Amino acid sequence: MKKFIESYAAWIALFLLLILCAATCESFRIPANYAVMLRQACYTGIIAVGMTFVIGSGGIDLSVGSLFALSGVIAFKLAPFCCTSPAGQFLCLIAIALAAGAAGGALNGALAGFAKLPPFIVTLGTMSIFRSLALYLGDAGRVGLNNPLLAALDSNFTVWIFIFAGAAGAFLLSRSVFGVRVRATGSNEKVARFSGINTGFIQFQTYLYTGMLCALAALLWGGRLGGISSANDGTGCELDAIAAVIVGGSSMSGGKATVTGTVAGILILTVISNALVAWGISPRLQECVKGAVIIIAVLSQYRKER
Amino acid sequence: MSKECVLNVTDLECAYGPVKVLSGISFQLKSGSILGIAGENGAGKSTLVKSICGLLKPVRGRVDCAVPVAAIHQEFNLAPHLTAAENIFLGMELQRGGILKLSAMQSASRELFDTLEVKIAPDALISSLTVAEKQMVEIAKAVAAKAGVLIMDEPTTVLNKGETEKLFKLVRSLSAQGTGIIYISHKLDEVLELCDEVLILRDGEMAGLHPSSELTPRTLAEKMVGRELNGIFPPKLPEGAGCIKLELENVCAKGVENISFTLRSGEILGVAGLNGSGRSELAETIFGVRPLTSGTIKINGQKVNISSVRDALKNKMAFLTEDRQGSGLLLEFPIDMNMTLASLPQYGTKGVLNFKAIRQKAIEYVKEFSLKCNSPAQTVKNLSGGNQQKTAIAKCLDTAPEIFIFDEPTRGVDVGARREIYDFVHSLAEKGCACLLISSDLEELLGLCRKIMVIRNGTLAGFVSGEELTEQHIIRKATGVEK
Repeated sequence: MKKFIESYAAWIALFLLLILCAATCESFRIPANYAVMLRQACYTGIIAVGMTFVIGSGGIDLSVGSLFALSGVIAFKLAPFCCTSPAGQFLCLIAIALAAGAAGGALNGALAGFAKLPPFIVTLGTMSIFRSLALYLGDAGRVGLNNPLLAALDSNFTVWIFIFAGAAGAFLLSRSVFGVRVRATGSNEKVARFSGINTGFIQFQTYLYTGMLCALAALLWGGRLGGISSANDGTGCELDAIAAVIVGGSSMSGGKATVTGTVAGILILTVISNALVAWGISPRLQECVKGAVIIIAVLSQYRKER
Repeated sequence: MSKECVLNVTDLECAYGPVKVLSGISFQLKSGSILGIAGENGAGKSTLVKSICGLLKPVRGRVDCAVPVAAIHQEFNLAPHLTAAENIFLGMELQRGGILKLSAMQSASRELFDTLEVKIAPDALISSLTVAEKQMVEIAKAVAAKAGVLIMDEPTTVLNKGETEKLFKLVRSLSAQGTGIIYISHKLDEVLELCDEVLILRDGEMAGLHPSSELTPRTLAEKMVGRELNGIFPPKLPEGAGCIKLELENVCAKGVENISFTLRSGEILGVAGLNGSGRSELAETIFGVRPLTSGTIKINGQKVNISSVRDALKNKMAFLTEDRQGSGLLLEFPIDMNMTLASLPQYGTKGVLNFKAIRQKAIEYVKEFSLKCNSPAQTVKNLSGGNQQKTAIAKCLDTAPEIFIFDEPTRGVDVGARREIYDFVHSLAEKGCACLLISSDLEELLGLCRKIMVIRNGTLAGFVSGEELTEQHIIRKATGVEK
């Protein structure tokens, strides 16, 4: 029983939270609103799936928000020049975004994974670099694209992508050779190395895939809105992604990581944001509550380990 | 001169939840006497230490201690980025109004080091000190805290013979000054040499409390284990007639200079040398952890390029590291995942793992090695030293090696498991595996090997075999007295 509670702590917390909200708020008793909340969670949620792998392998990525904006800006800016047909343009948009995300992720991975520089510092640096490049390329404004096929990237599609990413990520992290190696590297890098695991390459891959997930999220976001705002989009998203991972039960130092936990984590954060609005609490206090939730999550984790 | 009692333990019983770990422990420690505690891993030694230090509340009985207690563990409690003086006074800093009295701390530390007859600069950073020096700082800390009872847990595991003798001298002088000393060690001959009395723990109970004069290492071992031991070492294998499996020619790496030797199939080649002489560095170079700067490694007569651990594994090598907790096992992971960590691809189809197969293999190993655990899903962290070592050995074995490097295989392992590990090395060699045995335990090397390679300062000091297979010859080569 205790083990069950431990493994599904985040989901239990989410469940209790929803009961509390439904009991106190009219809006939480309307089914349609749940769909809206779910859609809200998808973008950061997709990125948080990648973040689970990064943190699980012992690293951290502060640049995800900036890379989200940058990959979107590059894609939306260059796509019109690649193809004249809407279909070709659409495909180019996707390809360019993923390539940009991969490039950014590869940069992080090369420095933090192969060169073994401290990930916090590396991604702190790339966070600024990516945002600055986005601002430059986007003239600090919005980069838009008129393409009828963008309508295909609608909310329903987004939710399905999130569910797929979550399921695939959960399966990979817990049941694949790669997943075990990621967690082993995060648990004790020396032991993993002595067991024949190429820890630098494993960590590189986590940053690479996360970068591509940032690009994917940017495509879905930009697709829905018709463009990317180089200054505003993605700001603060890294903290939400990291918070989702921690609230979900993964360990900050690596080794213990769960994607299903992260999914619960991002849903908890989304529900809280909505609940605060519904309860009439000033939007300025939102971050206050979010921060408190993170601290409580970490407290309950570390109490267990004592 | 009547010695006062500084520690009185009466009918002590301790438990972790419903599990009883100690019961019926009663003894007295008098001022100035040295009490040894011997027992297999899991017998309750560390629990006893915790209750003496006041960290664990007894379920029944009492621990009465009138003086401060200081404990020195295997993992030192020192802050590596601070100086020796700062560490000695950590928590009881010499200060005036919140500002450190640095010069007072320095001179007090210097005085302490003089009494202990060691040369350590008070402003030396802990990270720059040797293991033996770090231990001295810990002892100075205990003396500065005016400890009336000093507990030492496995203090000589990381010391060489010279440093051990120095430690003994120090312990004797501390006891002469009235400190009560509790000495815990797996090295039974040391325990009998140093201690006045020995308390034997077995399965959480007192199996005896005898003066050292009444015990021999063998009878002590038998009381610890509770049964008769027929010799510690299996009979030696016949002289190596197998083909040359591993050959090193003028191998150089960081910490390794010009080493050449051959290792045959079915041979157990010992590697002796002082602490820090480069034996582990040599092993790391052979295993691909350390890059080769020059020289050749040949396996089965063919030159091979070992530039990563994966290369080593591909060439059917296994390496049991000396630090199982730091580089051998993932402590937070379960036993079965640890055992298969180096051979994961075997258990996966297209990258997806077959956990059933992993669990099955682990169950086989648990049976084969008589590993004491609740289940293969248990976390390695909670296993005893001997069982952790068995897990690490299983991990090495799962890659089906033909060359096996052992680095301090019985360090921190109790008598019963030790014999099992010797039997394992023996049967491995019998099956044709080429074994390299690095050890600081000369008795172990002499008991298992027909030929021993001696390393000094990163280079080859010579080989010992046949008539020269004695402790004196090895020590002479290891220290450089005889070339």
